Amino acid sequence: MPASYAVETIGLGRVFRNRHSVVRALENVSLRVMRGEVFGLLGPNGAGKTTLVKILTTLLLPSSGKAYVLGYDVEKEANHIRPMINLVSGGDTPGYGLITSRENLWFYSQLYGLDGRTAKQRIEELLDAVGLREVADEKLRNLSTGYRQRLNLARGLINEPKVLFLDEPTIGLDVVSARRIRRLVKEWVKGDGGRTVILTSHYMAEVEELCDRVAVLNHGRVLAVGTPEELKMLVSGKTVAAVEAKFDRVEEVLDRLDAVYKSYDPATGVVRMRIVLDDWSKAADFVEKVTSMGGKVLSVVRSMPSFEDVYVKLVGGGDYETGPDT
Amino acid sequence: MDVKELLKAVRASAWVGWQVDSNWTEPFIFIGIQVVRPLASTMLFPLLYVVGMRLGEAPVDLEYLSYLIIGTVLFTPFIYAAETGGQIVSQDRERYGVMKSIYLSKASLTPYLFGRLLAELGLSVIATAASAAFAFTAFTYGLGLPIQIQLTDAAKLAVSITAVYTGSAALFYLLPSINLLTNKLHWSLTYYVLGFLYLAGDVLFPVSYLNQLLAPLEFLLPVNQALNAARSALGLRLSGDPLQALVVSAVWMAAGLFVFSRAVGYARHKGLLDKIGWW
Amino acid sequence: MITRQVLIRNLRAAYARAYVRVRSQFNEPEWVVAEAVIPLLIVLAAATLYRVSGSGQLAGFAVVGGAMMAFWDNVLWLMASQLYWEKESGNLDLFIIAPISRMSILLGMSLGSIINTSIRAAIILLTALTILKIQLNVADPFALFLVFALTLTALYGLGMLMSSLYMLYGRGAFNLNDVLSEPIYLLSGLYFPTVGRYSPFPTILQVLASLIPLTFGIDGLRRTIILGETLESLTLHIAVLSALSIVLIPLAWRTLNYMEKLGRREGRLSLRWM
Repeated sequence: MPASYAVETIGLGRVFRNRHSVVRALENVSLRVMRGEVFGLLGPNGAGKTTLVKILTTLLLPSSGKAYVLGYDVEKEANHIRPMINLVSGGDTPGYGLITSRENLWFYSQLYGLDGRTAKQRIEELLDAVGLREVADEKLRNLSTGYRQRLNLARGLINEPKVLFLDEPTIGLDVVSARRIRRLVKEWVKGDGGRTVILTSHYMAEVEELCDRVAVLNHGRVLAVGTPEELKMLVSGKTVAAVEAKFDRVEEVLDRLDAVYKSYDPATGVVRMRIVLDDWSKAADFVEKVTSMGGKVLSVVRSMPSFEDVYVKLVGGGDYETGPDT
Repeated sequence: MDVKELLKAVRASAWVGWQVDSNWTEPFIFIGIQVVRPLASTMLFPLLYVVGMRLGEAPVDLEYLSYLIIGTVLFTPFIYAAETGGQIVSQDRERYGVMKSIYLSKASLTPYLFGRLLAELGLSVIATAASAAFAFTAFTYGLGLPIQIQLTDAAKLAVSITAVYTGSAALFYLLPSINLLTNKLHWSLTYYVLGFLYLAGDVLFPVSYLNQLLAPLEFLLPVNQALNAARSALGLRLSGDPLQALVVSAVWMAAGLFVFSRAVGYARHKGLLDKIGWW
Repeated sequence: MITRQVLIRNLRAAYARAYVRVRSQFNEPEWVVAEAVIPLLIVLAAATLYRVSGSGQLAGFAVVGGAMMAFWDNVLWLMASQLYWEKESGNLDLFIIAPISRMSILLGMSLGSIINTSIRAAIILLTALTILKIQLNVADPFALFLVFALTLTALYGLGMLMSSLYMLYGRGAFNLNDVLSEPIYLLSGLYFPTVGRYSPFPTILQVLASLIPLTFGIDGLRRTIILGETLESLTLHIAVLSALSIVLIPLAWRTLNYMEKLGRREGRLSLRWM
């Protein structure tokens, strides 16, 4: 069944029931991803990104609604979908430690029925493309995290999927390795028309760099969909106040500050906050609020809104982070 | 570190050992591992003997049957000590990642291991008692082969059993000493040792039956004298000096502690306390 | 309908999984040594016990049992627990989204295991026979081959079933391996017959023991290798092993499908609340 969309979901829902609770991981999610797009799913932990990916990759059935990948129903036509997709999950390093990178790639190629010659050719191409040539004959268990994740990506490309699902592909990687993975993804997408990528990530910069369009999810719902530029319009014309303050009772106060991005450094006792304001004149109101909560304001700086601010505006301040400010 | 702190550390380690090794939260697994499995180990070789006699249409020597049963029952603490002692380093270093934290603590590894040992020996008491009761009942009433045991000397038996537990404690320190220095034996070392002890430990037959040249092992290994002393205390016609057994086991225990402390020092020197992987 | 393309794809997957298993084993020669030496020690102990107690002619029973112990250990540790480890490493998801039947993965695992373990069993057998100076008495090689092949088919069918059942059992399933090793050695008669006239067990236990492929398998192998019996005296063994194969393999398939449906429907691969 031909389809112009790579992925389409209509009122998709997913509920998890266990002994003690019911969790609505997805609620009424309707999305369309065009062929050839790099589509981002952004959201905090528990937003439903991975659940959505699992449904689309046929690992999980929806509780309600419909989902189609390349025109095929994920529920009833999984066998049509599977030859044309693949999944790369960051943080996982699937494979067998006692065989080499090359042998691992060969193994996965056989799960997709590649004949000997095609498999060999593709493996050699991928080893070069992801920069694994020097460790091609090294056992997987001897590889560093960076190499393993490159191998994981190569594995995800072994069947030349039409839709590639990348679930936090750079999580836990150092800056250089993460950059390399992003570059590889960009090159791969450019390589052949019609290659689609669905990318989930926590990292704003990664989403902004790679994605043509982004859906922001929270609590299982889609809050906004658009290009990064379109989403930034949500905060255009606005301004951001970056405020540093100290509080006597930090935990009590931080939970009461909504729609504010916060980080707390226990070593210095300083709380850093970012808030999107309609107008710079509102900064004084915010400072007054902080003071009334017992805060001693150390500095107030004005800046332009970033994509991160879009995220915070949509998702809310969420839990504050502790640790030295990065 | 003062005695109170040391006891706290030992107690906490014993508690952890119980939580990790007993599977008490899963009753089916608990009964399976702590009762059914030791029972099967205990019964295997005595039944082999009985069936062998039946197949050969020869009478069962009840005293020898009793010899076998006492051997396999009292070998249980050694099995427990070897299995946990053989895997504790790999589990704590690699799977749980706690080894370096314990090493760096005030108590460090020796009291920790002692606590874990106490938990293991406590579990082995359950297993040993259940196996003994079942074996006695099954053979005497199930198969009509009355087990020839009679408690002739309670003190002798008590000392023998102390020797059994002291000997198994030695294993509990020796096996981790080796595993600290290489990760390649983390599952096989236990079974090499247990296999060797089945052959040479007077568990199933006197070691001298294998070869007269191996007869001195009877006085050198921590298993043989302890088992023979217990057999003697239970009325079998065997020479077995429980005090000698206790001395041999104590020497092994002292050696175990010494080797362990040296192994820890060496592991620290070589950076092995948190090294994972296959090496 | 299974097309030629689908069949070839599944056979490739099975071959690949078997290759990984065999290759991994031989990349670690220490394992081959350990997995031969350890059963050998116990075989020597059991055989010596037979000799010491005056049943020396039965020492060969211990040797056959020791060789077959390698297969049971392999079924427990490298078949039954395997899908659990595949799940932990992230491979299981990849198997599910791949366009293959999961049975082809289990088939590959079985074939790889059979190759590895046969080598190990042969080492144990030959070494023990040499050290103990035991004579074999094979009067009917075809009967031997048939019993061995059926035993492995039924045993690995059980292994496939157990791999799905372990997944359904959930977290801690690998603890079942500890529960099942020694009791199965005892019940299945690794070193002595546990079914028939000389069995020390009551009838009910003998019936339960018969459900384990090892029981009739080892007994059949003892009879063909040590006692020199021929096909005519093994009809019961062949019937039981065939029946077990016919039941266990389709049951494994159905359980695997059930597990996969459970996973997709409920979002978990076990029946227990995690």
